[in-house]
Amino acid sequence: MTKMIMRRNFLKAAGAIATLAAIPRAVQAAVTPLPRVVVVGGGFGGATLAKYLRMWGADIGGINVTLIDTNPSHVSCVLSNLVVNGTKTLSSITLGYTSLKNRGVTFVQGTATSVNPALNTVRVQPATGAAYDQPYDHLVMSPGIDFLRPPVFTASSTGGDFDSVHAWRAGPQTTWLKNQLAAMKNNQTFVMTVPKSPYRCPPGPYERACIVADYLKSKKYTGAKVIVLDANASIQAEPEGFGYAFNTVHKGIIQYVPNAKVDSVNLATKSITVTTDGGATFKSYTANVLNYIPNQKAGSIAAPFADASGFVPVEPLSYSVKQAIDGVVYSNVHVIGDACKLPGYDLSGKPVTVPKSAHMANSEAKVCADAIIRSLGGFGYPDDNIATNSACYSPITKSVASWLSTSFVYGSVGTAPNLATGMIRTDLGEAPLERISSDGFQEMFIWANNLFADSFT
Amino acid sequence: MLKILRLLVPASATLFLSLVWHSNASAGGPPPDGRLLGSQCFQCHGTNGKGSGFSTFLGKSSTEIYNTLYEMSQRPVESIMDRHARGYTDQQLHLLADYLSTLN
Repeated sequence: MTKMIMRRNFLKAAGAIATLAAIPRAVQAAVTPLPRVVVVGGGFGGATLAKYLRMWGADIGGINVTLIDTNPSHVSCVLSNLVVNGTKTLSSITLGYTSLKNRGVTFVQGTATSVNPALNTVRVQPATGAAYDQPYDHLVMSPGIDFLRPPVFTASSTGGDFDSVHAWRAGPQTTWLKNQLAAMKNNQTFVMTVPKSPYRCPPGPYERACIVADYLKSKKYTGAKVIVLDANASIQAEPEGFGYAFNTVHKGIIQYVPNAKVDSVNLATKSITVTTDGGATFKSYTANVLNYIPNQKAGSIAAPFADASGFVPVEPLSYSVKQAIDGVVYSNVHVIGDACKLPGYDLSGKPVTVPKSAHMANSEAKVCADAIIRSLGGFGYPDDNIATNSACYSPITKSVASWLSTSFVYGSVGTAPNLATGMIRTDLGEAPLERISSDGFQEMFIWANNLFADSFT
Repeated sequence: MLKILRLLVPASATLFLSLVWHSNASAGGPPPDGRLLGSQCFQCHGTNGKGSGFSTFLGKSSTEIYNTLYEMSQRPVESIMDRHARGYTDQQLHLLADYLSTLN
């Protein structure tokens, strides 16, 4: 601790507290043994970052990595819809931190409650014991998502807030949804919402609708329905594949309602009211199972760095935050994964969203790790010949899956001087219809297992 | 560069890519060229290529890896890799093939 105070004073004297990232490690080594990186959030982004900092940190003689998460392990959202239909167990998609600890990562079970970027500390409330300030040289937040309240919300007598029935963070709610589905009967209705983009896992809600419809069909229930209330104008991922799934495979079971803006949610009556014409008229749906997935924003620890969108604008080469705090932009504070917001463009220069997914969070973590290592090592900062990607498989029944792939390269599009610079979407595509298959379903587990291992072991 | 643009970019668009080269890897030196790009294959093929289930690039030469990726980028799309290979510039395909061929 004394060393850190000395170091802070030294930096302050150098007038460099906000530009710590630019100080070569040779200088840092004079006052502290190893640079410290604190990672908040142990999902796919945070776990991958912690792992790769330890693995690649040998370049600069090692990095002291602390990973903080509220939970002792991470329950993967990837494959969690297959827990809902009983194909997988929750324990089979629960990923621990033992391998990361064996790599030398210090894991702290606790909650990061606030950041003091001027002092380079993050406040931690550990699972047991008193709160303390954790010092860092670089802070990386990978907190995932939080949820936005609907305009009107009514709780049930048994409790539960507006964000208690989404199952959009895997864990207890996944089991809750599974049990709700298992209790359905003939002529009952499952109502779910698709959040306004951008949201975590673009294909996820459509995949869930398919899995639920497939389950109801497999139980031979008559008159059972799945109503999908989409806040967006159209299917947000794999439009061809999910269009085929909705209109052909699950025809008669799934009812798709686009442009459905949620106005009120009532958990007591399991009813939801939406408007599809901007508020001129409203329509209510009453469900036997209400799976309300709210609109989303960055996890709360990163909120001070968010813009009006609720997400955190970051530099695409380093994932450093762009928003100033009290007039200072802190380049040693980074946000990756679902919480961040990148400048993304298609090849024509039209703005596009870089998707929020586990695979993409892993991809971003590697870019961020490399940038931090270059920064700490004074090697030139950062690399601008970078690419990120996301791939995923989406089950549309309990034995058939489609897939989705997207690729981004850092660069500029357009004609000078009107260039758009950022992550350029160089490719986007889904499985051709004839490739939506049982082979795809089997490949899904290979993909998931390798993604789990590359992130957590 | 013109060849790259023809391969990857519709005629209506222009894609400028910055090319910044770093010195070769050495102990205590900067990250090896291609390592970051190559690591983007590890999600599906395992950390340093040591995954299982999908085909492997371990033990293949840079030329073999590049030629495979190039072929994937040109043929009709059947698999995810046919899409992924389309997502990189030609220079990046060479760079990551060079790096992946050093793993074993």
